[in-house]
Amino acid sequence: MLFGKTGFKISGTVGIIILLLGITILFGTYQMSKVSGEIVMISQSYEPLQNILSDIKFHQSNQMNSFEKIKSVSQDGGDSENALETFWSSNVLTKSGIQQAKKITEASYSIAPTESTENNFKLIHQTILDIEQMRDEFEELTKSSLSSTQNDQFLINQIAVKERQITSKVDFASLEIKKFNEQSITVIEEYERDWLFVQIGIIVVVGIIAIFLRYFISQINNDLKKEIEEKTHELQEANKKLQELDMRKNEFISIASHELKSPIQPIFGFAELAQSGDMDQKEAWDGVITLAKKLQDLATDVLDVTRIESNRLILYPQKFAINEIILETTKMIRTGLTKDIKIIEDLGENIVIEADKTRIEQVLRNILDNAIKFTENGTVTVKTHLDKKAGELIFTISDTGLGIPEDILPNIFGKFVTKGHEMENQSGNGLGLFLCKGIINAHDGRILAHNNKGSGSTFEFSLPLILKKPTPLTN
Amino acid sequence: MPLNILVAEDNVFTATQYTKALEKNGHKVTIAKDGQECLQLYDNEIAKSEFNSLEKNPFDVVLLDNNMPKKSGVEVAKEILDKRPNQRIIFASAYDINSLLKAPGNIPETVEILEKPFSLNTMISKVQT
Repeated sequence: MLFGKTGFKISGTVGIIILLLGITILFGTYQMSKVSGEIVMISQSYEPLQNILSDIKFHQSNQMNSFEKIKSVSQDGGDSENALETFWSSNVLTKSGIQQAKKITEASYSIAPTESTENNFKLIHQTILDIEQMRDEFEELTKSSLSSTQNDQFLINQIAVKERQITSKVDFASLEIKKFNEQSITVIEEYERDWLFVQIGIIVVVGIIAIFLRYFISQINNDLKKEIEEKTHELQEANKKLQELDMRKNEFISIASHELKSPIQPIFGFAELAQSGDMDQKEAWDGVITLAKKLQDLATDVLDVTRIESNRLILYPQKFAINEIILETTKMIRTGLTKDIKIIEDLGENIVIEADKTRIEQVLRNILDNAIKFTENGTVTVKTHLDKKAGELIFTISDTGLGIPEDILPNIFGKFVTKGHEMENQSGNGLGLFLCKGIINAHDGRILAHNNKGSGSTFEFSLPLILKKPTPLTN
Repeated sequence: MPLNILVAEDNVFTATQYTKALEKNGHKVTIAKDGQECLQLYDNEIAKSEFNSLEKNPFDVVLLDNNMPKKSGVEVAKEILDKRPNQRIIFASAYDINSLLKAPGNIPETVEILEKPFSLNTMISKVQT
């Protein structure tokens, strides 16, 4: 999940950078093509226009010269044929020059890439039109002057003025073109400079984003590293726990199988001794029965342990009066009692509780058996107390015996932990208290054990008056 | 020839059966109910002047159960062999005997093995060899 998010963040940011760079490059390319197009167009229009204008100027002055020549020759009464020819040819060349200039400017402003260039060419076009008009007037004036034999000084003066006007207009157009060219170059240069700033700006922004991204990614990397380390640690811990569990399970199987195997040896022994007549038949059979009973109990307990450990302990709850069960159990224990021990019942109100009767009996018998096993003489007391507030019954079983060794006490409700106890003998299998805890927990009760201040130990467990969970119950 | 045998066995039934079978064959049997008691009994015998020499073992055979309270058979065997390297020891155990044998250093090589369950006659002939 985390990797996905990070990947998305990184690819998103990289994508934005690539997009920005791409837009910058595309825009730059577009601008460059536009600018270079303009430069090509201006350079294509500028030179021919300047040439045409200088041609117009040249032919105009030729025409004017030839006109003056015609006039002076006709005054002298000479032949003006040559001059007349020059005059008309110059007239035609000037006109055609103007037409050419008109065409070029028209074409230029119609395809101009920018508005300012278009306006500039339109202005030049207008100037050319003005020149054409002046030229027409000049032609009219010269024509009328040439057709008249009179030497009309006023007309000649008018022609001279018109000629100067034309020349200055042509000069003006030429200057304008030169100016516009320079202007447009400056504009392009400015535009390019501005554009360069924009490009630098974009690159700087992209650079800042990249730096930020670098920081961001390293941050994410650190977080990821931390998280991976944590997860690895968690996994190691979990693995450790699993290994421990596995070890404990193996240990349980190992001890349980040993416990199951150990009565077999004496059973063989009894059979062999009875067979050979080295032992009384009754003694041998009693021994075999005791051992078979032990095996049966152990098998049942092992089965219960696995049920508790896999949360499959099923309770069969019923309502019963608690004191009756306690008295029944103590009575049974008294019957088999071989030691000088007094069992005292200090029972509270005989209330009815809802629980698995057989299992509760098992717990009581187990704890009482233990109390008697580790007590040589003295008392074993069973006490009940109703905690109305908590809605539970508290059982306290205390003895005046040896007490629980301090090293065993923390794990007293574990499996096989009492094996090896000083007073332990074949009568116990080390699973009783584990089962007690499992059964009480399955009833939503608590169980604990502690040593008494004087001597012996006390086991205490609680049972809710009404089972909270519906049946079948598991712990 | 009668042998002096020390038996360490926590199961009262089994211990009684060993005693019956061995005594029937004319051997002298001493029973220890756990590993610690076994070592205690062994030390008591060593302390007697007749067993002062390292060559003289207090018992002809020590028959050890492995799974005992307080001290395991392996521990007892090692401690006895530290005191009397020539002591003959027979190890009787139902407890995963293969892993005991395979793991080096667990039980000394000189220790003999008797895998439970065995018949009392097998045990007698093993002791008498």
